[in-house]
Amino acid sequence: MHTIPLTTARPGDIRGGIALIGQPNCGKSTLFNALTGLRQHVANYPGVTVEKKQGPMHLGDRRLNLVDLPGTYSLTAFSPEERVVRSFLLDSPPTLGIHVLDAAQLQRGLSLTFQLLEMGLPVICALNMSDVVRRQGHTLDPERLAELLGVPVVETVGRRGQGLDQLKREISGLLDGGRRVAARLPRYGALEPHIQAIMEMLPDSLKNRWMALRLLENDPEGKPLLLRHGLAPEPMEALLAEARSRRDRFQKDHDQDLADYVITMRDRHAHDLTSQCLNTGTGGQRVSWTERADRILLNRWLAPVFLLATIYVIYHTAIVQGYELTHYTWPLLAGIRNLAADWLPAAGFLHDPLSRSLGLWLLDSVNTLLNYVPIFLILFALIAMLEDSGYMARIAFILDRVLHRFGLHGQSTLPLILGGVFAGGCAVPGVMATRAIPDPRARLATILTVPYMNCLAKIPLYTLLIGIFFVDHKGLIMFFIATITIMVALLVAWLLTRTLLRPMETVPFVMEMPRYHLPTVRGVMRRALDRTWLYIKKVGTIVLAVAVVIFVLLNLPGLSTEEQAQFEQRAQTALNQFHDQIRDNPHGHLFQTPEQLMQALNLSNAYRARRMNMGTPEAVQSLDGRFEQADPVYFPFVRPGGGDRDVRAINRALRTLDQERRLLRMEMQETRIHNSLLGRAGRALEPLTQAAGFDWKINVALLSSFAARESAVATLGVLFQQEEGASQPLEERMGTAMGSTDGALVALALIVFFAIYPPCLATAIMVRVQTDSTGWMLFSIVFPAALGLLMASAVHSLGQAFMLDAIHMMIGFWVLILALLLMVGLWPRRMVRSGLATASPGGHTDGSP
Amino acid sequence: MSCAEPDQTLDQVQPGQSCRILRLTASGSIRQRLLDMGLLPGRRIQLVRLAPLGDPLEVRLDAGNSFVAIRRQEAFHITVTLEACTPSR
Repeated sequence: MHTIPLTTARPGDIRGGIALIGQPNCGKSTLFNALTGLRQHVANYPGVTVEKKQGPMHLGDRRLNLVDLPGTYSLTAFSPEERVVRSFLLDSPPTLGIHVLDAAQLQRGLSLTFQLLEMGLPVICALNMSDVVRRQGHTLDPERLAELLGVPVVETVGRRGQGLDQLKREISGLLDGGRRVAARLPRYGALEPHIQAIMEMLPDSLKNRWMALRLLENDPEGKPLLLRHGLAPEPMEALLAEARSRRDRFQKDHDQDLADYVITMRDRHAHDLTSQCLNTGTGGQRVSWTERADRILLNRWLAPVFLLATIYVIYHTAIVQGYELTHYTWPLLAGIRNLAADWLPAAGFLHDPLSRSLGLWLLDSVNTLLNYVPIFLILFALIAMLEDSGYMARIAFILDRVLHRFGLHGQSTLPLILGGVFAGGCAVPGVMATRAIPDPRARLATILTVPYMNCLAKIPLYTLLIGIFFVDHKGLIMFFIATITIMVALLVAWLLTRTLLRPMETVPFVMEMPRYHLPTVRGVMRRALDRTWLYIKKVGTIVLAVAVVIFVLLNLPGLSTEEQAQFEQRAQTALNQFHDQIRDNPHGHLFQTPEQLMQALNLSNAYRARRMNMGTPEAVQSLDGRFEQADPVYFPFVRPGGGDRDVRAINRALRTLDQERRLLRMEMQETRIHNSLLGRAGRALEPLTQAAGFDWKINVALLSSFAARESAVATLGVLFQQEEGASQPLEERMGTAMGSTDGALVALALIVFFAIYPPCLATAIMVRVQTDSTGWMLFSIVFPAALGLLMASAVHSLGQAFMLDAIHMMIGFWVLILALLLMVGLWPRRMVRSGLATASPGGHTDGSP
Repeated sequence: MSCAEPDQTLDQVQPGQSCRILRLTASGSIRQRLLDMGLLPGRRIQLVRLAPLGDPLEVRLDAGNSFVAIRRQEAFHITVTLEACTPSR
């Protein structure tokens, strides 16, 4: 696998590169991949969540830096993408811009070409997807277009790599200075004198027609832009005043909005050029393949069917099949753990060296994350296919009505599916996928609600609790869990949109419906790998750091001297017992010193850990062979069964000792957790969680599950350990400890809490990355915790007060939430047009609380 | 809709009907976005279909192969005249 070093470079650091510019869906990224090959850097632009890609391009012996700018339709300042592209082009002008035009939508694209040329940027036009135009029965004359524009025009088909050589030749030609570009710009008639006048007042680095026009059009970002380019406040105010008075004069004289006038002039010019170089042929308009497909896929009655089928396929392939795949990858990870367990300093009878316990703890935490990699690879590949094919936009089209009602967006569908609407997803890719949502407010609302979905890691605790308390109502409770989460998520989204997120910038829903494309294997694989790698890197490092912190919190300050002495004494008793049992055994001399004994015990544990991974008798046999070879002295005593009477006796005694040792260690761990900082926190929280029925043990499990949800079950396993040697499963132990009548109610409260529980650490980090705000990350943790506790308390206390059993309480709760949802969803809608019209352009993308 | 009342907003147009954009009644980012997507005054557009739940709408631009989805909320800001009502040019 190749490495993608993440740069934190600001746009300004890549001076003199080559920029790829174009509208969304014009095939820009495909072209970028074709030009740069495998080495790319993906990062975010500072301060915004817009993806920034760059990579080297080789032209002969020249090595150039190619930057893939985010797709935009124009260079006003209304969306984060536009602001990023603008400031990149103005503040650190690239040597050259390649404008990728969708040949099938030439007229619309040309308007952006004009703006680039007006900025004074040397431009090469890549007429991409020219094959589509031909298929429509049209002919396009690139030479004529080049002549009319005054810049080189190259026909390309990015997906098939056509036209790349010519494009490279043109780039070399321009860089060598061999060809002069004399761009022909649109003329603005009556506005021309005003443009000239403003241009004279502009600072040198911004002395271009585009800037003059933007100021005349009253650009909201004009002031900071001018200041950045070294204009003093006084001349700047004078400049803005001049622009304002000229704008007013023009608008009065012509009775027309100046910005409209500019757009109309550009469009007219674009129409002019298009009609001169595009021959639409004589035959009537052919119905395109895309339109024919949409007649079926977007049919009023069939659309939901196709949508459900798509979602099912994604769910089944990624989650179900991906999970199957982890059965093959998990032994690999477990094998690595076993190797590390051999390699790290050996375990003691009661106490392990710190390097061992911490090392294994870290490895377990990382393995938990890596275990999901196969699922992510499949999931990301499928998403890439949806995106590249164009169906994603259709999903948004179908579902926008419902989701918009609750403050979300049509394009929130995918993040919610990834998060696990049904059961079994992961919030990390879910939050990552919100990137595609163009509306900042809906995007944030989606980011904050995706963690409510049922991720894979929540399932073990559900299964545990259902296994103890709801065996007879398994289906019902799973239905409850799956539906309650999406209902709560929608309500929360609605609530947040109406309160905290209200002042945030929103973008109107005007979405292009792209043509359907056949995704390429290469493109899909590359995106899947890139995103998975990003996940591993971002999440892996942070999880390691936090695993250390949790380890410390769970282990400090440790046991008191008396407790320590007590455990040592019990250990000694067990050892004495063992020595008694083997006193007369002929092999007894092999187990005299503590070192010998530990060798046997550690061998036994290592053997058991590996044996668990072996499925077939043949595999077990070969494992036995390897162990036999490695330790011919002790292995016969470790292998269950076999050997003569004396060997079997030692084997039995060893097993008893091992069991006692494990029990002691578990009790020690419980005492240690009880004493630990996290244990104290769990106990301190008891008054708060009392209403929900959670005792300190559950609190500790919930606290530690913040690092990774799976650990909730593991921690509960330690805390609800059996009193005596009897090996009772965790289900029964918890059942007895929690009592069966109130226990079910507590279990229901725990399920409700866990469903709404804050995102795990990895997700919280992803929220931080995607919102670029620590404030929102903290909010994403605190708010669900409070809400979850409130709901869990309500469920538990109401159930107790009205003497309801858990199932009735659950149904009541479900009906209540559904009623709320219907109330919000069906309430007659007030027209919110006024609010939308005043949405501030150029506002901050970041609305931290 | 009859030609007695030729001016209406895009959200009132029926699927299949073609019309010409007269003016945009929005300002700021909505207006800019509409213009960017090619919804300029003077353009001919056709309402292709409604989403299964009646919102958003899908519109075809200039009888070409360019399709745009738009919520009723935003379509309200586009004043159009039905093609049948436009005097032939």
